[in-house]
Amino acid sequence: MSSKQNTEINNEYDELLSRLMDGDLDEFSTNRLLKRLDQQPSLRATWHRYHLNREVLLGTSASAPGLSIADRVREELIHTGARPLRRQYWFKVLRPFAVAASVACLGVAVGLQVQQDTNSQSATIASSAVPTVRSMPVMPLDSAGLQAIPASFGQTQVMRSPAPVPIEGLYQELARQRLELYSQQHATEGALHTPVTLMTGTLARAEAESGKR
Amino acid sequence: MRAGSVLIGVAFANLVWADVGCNAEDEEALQVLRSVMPSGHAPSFAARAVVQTAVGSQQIMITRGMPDPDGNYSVQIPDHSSDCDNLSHRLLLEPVDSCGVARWYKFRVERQPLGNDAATVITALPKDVYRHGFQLVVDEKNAIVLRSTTFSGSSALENVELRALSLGPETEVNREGFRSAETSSEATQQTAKESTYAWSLGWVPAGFEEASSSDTAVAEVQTYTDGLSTFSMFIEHPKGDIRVGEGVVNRGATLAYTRGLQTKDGAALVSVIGEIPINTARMLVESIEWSVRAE
Repeated sequence: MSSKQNTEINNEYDELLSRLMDGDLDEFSTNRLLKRLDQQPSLRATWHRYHLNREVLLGTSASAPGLSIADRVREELIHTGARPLRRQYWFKVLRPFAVAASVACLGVAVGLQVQQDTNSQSATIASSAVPTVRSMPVMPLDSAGLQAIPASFGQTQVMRSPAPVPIEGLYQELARQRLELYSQQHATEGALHTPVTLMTGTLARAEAESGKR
Repeated sequence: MRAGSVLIGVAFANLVWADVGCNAEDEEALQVLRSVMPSGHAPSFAARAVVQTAVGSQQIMITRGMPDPDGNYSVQIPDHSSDCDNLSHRLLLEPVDSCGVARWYKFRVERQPLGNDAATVITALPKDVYRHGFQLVVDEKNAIVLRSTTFSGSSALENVELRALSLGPETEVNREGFRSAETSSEATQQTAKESTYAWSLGWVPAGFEEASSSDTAVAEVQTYTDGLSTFSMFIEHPKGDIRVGEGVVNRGATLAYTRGLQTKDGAALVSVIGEIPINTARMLVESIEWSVRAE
């Protein structure tokens, strides 16, 4: 490994260390850093220096000097809120999915009721890349847009959902899904009766067949 | 008052136009269309279909009555068996009153050279606002549509062209496609979801007739054709209430119009798929009549 690469790696770990000090490091990177701390003395020195600096700034004294660096990091994680950090991390990661899920919930309001069967229609639905809504409750959100969602550690947290998707957008999506679902049947039926649909249905039949395959 | 008179005049002119009998060009067009209608005697072939829509073009291998010569995957064109009742034969060709589909479309016929033979170009201009126009380029010798263009006004919606056409042996086409089309409806019929209310269309554009009806696991389906264009109605009965609304998307010439309705029987989600203008689809959904289903 070249010295340049070494320098880049060290810089990367310095950055991770700095983020750990700021409480802004995810769990995966923390574990990676812990492994590295046990292996790299210079990194331990940096970690120690960061702590000294912080203690000077905050006017506190160093504690538990006998602990290994890795142990101190772990202790740090425990005392400075490892679980909140993890929750914050997972919240960041999952937030986009929560938004998507909320939109999907809205989609459910006007969604398709598909019976649990194994016929070819269902197979088409299952094989479609389009997420297909399978039940039909009505308007899952209350007027304030509040929705109770299960949070970590068995608690319940109330989140404000994103603004409701306009109904026009949902129906556009429904129309798109119906085109995916039904155009092959239409094309096959129409091709039996007219030369025009025989030709225009080519694309629908091709897409449906490729979906099955 | 004056505008009203103009409208009445236009409507009357349309009626007169629609009732005018076949002219020579119409008869020629119908004759060519007769040769390319799906039937058990259609020639088998394999070709590369180039499909052009507003979003780009795609190439698809299609075959009728034969496998792809190179062993590649291909889309099979479904076909009628030779003895099956082909509604389009009647709609297009049988001169029950005047001349079939020529009542709804004005035909233009031209000839174009095609190698050593000639291709016939048939342009079908709609006589009302409820359907699109079509242009078909037909290889008369082999009775194959080489190109179809669907247009609305002066805009082409979709162009499908067969290239690298290779003809198969002159045998009756494989009937499996037809049979599977039939049996698939029968199979799904058993899983149909019964609703308290039956439905029917109170209005369809003149010339359209019901070609088939079936029930799938999720929807009741009826397909209509005027002999050239086709639309299918899919009606689902979801549980609970529904926020009424509508959505529309196109893929080339094929329209998908979905509308959520509250009916006497509860919520209904109606989808119209077909080669028809959006306003026709809207009017079809508006015309749905619900009645208590007979026991």
